[in-house]
Amino acid sequence: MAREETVESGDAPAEPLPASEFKREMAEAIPYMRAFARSLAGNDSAADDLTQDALIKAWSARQRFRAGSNFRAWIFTIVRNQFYSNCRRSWRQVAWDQEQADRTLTGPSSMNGVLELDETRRALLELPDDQREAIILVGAGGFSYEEAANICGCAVGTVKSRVSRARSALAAILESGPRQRSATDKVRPSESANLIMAEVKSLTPGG
Amino acid sequence: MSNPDEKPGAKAVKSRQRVIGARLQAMYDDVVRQGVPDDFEKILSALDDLDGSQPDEPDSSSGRKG
Repeated sequence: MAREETVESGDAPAEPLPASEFKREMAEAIPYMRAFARSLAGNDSAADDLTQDALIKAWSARQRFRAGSNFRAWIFTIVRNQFYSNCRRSWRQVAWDQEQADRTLTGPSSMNGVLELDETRRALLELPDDQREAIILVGAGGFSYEEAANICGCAVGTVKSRVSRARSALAAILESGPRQRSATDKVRPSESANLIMAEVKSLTPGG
Repeated sequence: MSNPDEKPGAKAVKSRQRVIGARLQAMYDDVVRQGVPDDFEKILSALDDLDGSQPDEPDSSSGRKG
């Protein structure tokens, strides 16, 4: 089907996407939905359950998505709503699973890299939900403050202040070492601060 | 190396925030890079059955593997 970019007067209702196109958008969004869900739910399998629930919700609500609007923001809203509607149930009770974290953190090649991400994930879990979602959406997900405000259903100023509070809180947590620790933990608080300082040095041009 | 007792100046705070930002990004990208796991592919292909709607592409992607 030819995709035409028609410029219509703003109040003309846009068409819903054809099912196949909608599905393609969903497939493209899945990696990002999982990343967002991971930061909300903390536990990997809970996060994937959350993402799967959100996919099914999105599919049944697909008539409500308008072609031309931001698909990722739309489906993130569903992930988020799903997270909060399930909160009463179980998402927050799942324990940190160190073994699973070790298995799934595959990205950075260096051992330090793995420790740092592991530690950051745990620090993130110590933030209040509203701050955590705000800093992930803006700081990692690439959403503007306005888009994040739409996803979270709050004012732009509220998102800004949540992001800023989240940044300070993360800095404080990472400096003292995350509280959520495991028996096999490899990073002690003092080392944690050193890791941050080493990274600061490596990222600061000219020292 | 560094003296943790030293009160960080505005510049140090900024650097630290940059590091935390980079870590958050790395954490997020780490999951994104995993792409679409098999379980999710299965869900995508099962969606059409969910509401009995027909896929508007005639060919169903590659056959089932046992």
